[in-house]
Amino acid sequence: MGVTREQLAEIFVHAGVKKSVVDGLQADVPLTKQGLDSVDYPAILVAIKDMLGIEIGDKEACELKTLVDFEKRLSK
Amino acid sequence: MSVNAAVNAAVNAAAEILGKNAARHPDKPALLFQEGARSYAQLERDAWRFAALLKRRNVAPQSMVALGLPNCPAFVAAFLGAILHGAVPVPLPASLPAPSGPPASDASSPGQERRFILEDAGAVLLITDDPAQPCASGIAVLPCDLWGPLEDLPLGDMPLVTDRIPFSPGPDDLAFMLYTSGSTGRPKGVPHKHADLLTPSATLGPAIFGARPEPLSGEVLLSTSSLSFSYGLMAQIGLGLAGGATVILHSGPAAAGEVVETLAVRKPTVLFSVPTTFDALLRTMDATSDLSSLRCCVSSGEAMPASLHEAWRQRSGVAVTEVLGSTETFTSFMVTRPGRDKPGTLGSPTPGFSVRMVGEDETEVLDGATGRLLVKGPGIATAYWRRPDRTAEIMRADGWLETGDLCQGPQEQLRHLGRSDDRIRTGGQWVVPSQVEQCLREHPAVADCAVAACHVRGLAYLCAFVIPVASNADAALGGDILRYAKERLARHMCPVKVAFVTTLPRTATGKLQRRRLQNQE
Repeated sequence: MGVTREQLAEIFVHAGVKKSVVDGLQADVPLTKQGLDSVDYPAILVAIKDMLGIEIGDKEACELKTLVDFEKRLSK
Repeated sequence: MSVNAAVNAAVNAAAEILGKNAARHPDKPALLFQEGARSYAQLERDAWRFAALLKRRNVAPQSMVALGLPNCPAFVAAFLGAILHGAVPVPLPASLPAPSGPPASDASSPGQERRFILEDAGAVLLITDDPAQPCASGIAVLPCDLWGPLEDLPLGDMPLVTDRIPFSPGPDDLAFMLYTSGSTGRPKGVPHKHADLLTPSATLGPAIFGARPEPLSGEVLLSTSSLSFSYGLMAQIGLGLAGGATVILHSGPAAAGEVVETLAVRKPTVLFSVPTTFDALLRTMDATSDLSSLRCCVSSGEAMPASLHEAWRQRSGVAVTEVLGSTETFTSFMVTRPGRDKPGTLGSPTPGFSVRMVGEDETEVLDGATGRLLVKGPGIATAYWRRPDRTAEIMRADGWLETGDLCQGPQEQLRHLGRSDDRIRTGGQWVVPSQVEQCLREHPAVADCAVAACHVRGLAYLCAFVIPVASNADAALGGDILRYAKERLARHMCPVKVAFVTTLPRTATGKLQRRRLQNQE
């Protein structure tokens, strides 16, 4: 199953990230350097589980730093 | 030598910390801040300057002096200077970023919390870099910048080195007071005595850094927790400065990107932080990020999941030491030994401390059963400020302190199961659910709500259980409610999930039963 950039953006917005922040995200820059913080990250993991039914393991969650990382993981 | 013998109650704690280190290594950097530094000799002089200003303003010994300052050299000098003078510094909660939406109408507003603390403590003076802050009305202000006071000291008012005579504390005299969130949201003052400030370096320091003489003197210490929090104050002053280390002061919120930069530029050898920040650092660093300077990492605030332990150890090469403490104990009273204790367990009591677990009938619980954790040891506050009711409940006459933590044995492998009250510890800070609920109820689409703990990757966060006004609530509304909270509340108070429900569990008298919602999202 793949996930489009638009679907990922929708998940981020539903996780409480501002749409203006989501629209300005660069794909290969760590999200923590683009305004996402310690509350956004777990909220995104929760939204992914709720919206896609995908539960990301603890170890691999540490590796998800950028939009590209999320796209690759969710396209597995 | 016993711990009690190591900490002399009749010694002025600030004079002990400053005098010992300024004499031993006067030119060694005590503080690194932004592009500058303060040596131990300079810090001692700065602290005495604050003490002289308090004397000039006729601040009586044992008067409460509020510190409305971020992490900066002025905070450290004012804190220690007030103690030299015999006044009692009261750090106000760290400043929060200005909200982009209208302020919350309850005590979760930082301005209201600061105002409450000023009044409750009976502060006679506010030392601040922001005299315009709303809570400052009606109280004398000593303005300063991040490095020291703006007020000139008349020639002759600054005592010569030979004339510096610190306040000599009696057995009941206070040194400093911290505020902790109460279970109802009304903060409680926790006064500490002089010996309490010296207890971490006599007890926890050797447990973490080894029992050799001056185990911290060669270290460069960075704490991502603010000086206004008990953990940050203990790490930076109670361990760092008291132990003769160089302390890197991190200004502003410890955003992961800034911490990574500080790690690269300042190269600390010791890092004090909390699990959520260790996690954020791992997701911020790239392959070139250099952690080679680190030789000791300490975590507190909540249990660190095993997966995070392992990820940090692999990336940094350093196994994390976990400690458990509270505002009441000031010194962390439990400490793990990396490699010996299982992740998720609390380790052993810090030397000098004893712990035990009791059940509802007040008898010791058997191994494997759940009980309330009690602690006894040096440096623990003996009363809340002007709260005899809460003092009687928490600080028992037999010397044991009720931590409020529910644990499961055996004692050498205690596991933390939760709290005996509704408070939630997340991101290393306490959250009172009712404060978050009050904010969320002001959202036009929220009819009612309750906030409880949920766990994501083993770390505690907040989940908001919301009864929506309309029946067609969807994920988009959930996202809107999360953003609404983020615009009005401190980060650690923001939920990470909204679960829409039709009813909330309540007692027959209508009291919310938040415990029934924990991890039920």
